[in-house]
Amino acid sequence: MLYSLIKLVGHRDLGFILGLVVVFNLAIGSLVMNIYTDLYPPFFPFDLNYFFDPVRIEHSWLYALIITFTLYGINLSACLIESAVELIQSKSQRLHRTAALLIHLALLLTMGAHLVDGFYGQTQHGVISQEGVLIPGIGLVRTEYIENIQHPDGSLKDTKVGLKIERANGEKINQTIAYNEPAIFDNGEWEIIIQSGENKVRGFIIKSDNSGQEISLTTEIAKQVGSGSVTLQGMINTQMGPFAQLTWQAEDGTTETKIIALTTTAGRHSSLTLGQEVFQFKELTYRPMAAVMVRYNPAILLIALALFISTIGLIMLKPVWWRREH
Amino acid sequence: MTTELETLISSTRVAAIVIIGFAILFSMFGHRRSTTYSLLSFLLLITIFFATRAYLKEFFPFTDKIESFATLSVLIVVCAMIYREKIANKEFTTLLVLAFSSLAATLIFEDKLHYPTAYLRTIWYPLHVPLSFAAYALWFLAGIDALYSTRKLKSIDPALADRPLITELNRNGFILFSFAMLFGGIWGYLAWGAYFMWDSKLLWSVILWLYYGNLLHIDALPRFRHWKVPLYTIGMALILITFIGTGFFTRSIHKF
Repeated sequence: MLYSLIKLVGHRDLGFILGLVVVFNLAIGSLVMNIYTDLYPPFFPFDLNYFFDPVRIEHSWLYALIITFTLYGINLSACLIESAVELIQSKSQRLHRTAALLIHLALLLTMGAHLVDGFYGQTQHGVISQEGVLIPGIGLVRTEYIENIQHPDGSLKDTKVGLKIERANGEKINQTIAYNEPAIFDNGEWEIIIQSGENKVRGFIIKSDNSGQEISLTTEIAKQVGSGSVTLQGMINTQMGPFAQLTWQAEDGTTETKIIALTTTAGRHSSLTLGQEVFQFKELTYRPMAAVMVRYNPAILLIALALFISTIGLIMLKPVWWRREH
Repeated sequence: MTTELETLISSTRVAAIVIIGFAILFSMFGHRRSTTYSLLSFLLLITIFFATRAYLKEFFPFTDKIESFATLSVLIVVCAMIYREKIANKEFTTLLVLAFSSLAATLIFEDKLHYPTAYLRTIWYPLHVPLSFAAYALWFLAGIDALYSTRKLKSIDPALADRPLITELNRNGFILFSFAMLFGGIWGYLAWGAYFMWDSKLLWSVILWLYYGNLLHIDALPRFRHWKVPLYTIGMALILITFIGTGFFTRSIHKF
């Protein structure tokens, strides 16, 4: 009785029709996504919650797709059970049947994995700096350095970002990420993926002519110089090069605005008198900042299993055909 | 030096187009040996074309429209040569016309050599692209075989609906495309944290995979066997949408 029901639900004719319906549904979805460009930004993540928050008439194709895929999945499951029984009972074409069974099983697992990832996966975007960012699920992440590697024509070849990670369990990890080389945690469930990385100008260093004392200036942080204090207000790029504006506050409370060229080749424009001392611009200081995407995919083991099973199935298929053809 | 190599690239491309044109003429008039020599010369020229581009780009040369169309034309020629004994001469010639069109289409685009972007610099990319295109070539041949069999089906033998060659081509194409999808999925996971995103190229790749996977079952379904030829013929349109349509008429990040 149960086996008859399985045979009915897993009927191949039904599977074939459902397969074509899914294909048609996906094609309609592609068309709708291309028409409603505001609703569907290009290359957006596989987030199924997006389609339900709020529910919209334009998303009808996706609701229909979930139904057709579910029916397809039920048919596929029943068909798999029936095929497994046939495989046990039959002695002919065992390799071919096993290969087909594995590929269908992989498809079913893939569909399940997409459902789990689609509803329970997460995507966050953020910037990681030297000060560090607390990423839920991963821990405190800091950038140590950023190295941009360029092609001979100046275009970007790769970016390497050194990360220092402190996990919630106290584990400390040093890892370098680059394009196509994310940091992977917890068996692949969590990933930190680079989107871009840059050494942003943080401030600059000035050096005293007399004493050789060096002072590192950072925006809006006052630094004591002799009896007064200096604060970097901001930096600006001009046609003549980069300049910085500073505020000097003397001991008697008077304030003075000062300008310095942020280059060593601007003569007296790259020098600065603070109190009695003359300082020269020495060098810029940088802060490595990496724009990253953090992904959480709870279905990664499921998809890895599907990948393994499908690879075995596909490899097993070929010798069967080779034998038939020769 | 670079200018000389760029000249070499453009001249080998034009020469390859001309030679494949001759191959079509030889094939149409039944000069089998001349066709073979023409196609071997084409493959030699196109190898120089790709090798020079790879040298200048310092990477596998499948990263722009010109290289994509040229790769497709090469794979169609290779596919045609492999299956030459199993298909009619008119089918073989049609494939050569397709290969010619694909290569000639490269003349539409301005050929400015660029280094590949950082995202493309991974082994998964060159594994993913040629396998997809090889599958397209095999499925195209299946479609052409189906297209030419429609007249026979009307007039002669209903048993021809089985067309075992079509199924064989589809199975080989399906294996290659499945691996292409697996490699593409791994690349997607490493580069974007996702093996699938809502991108029209990805969506249509899934459509193709499901469509041709579904068609693999048709020989075992007596009720639908008469759909085989029309569905394989329609398949060619789906390939064109996936390969060209999504690249030119949608907002896909995959331009090729």
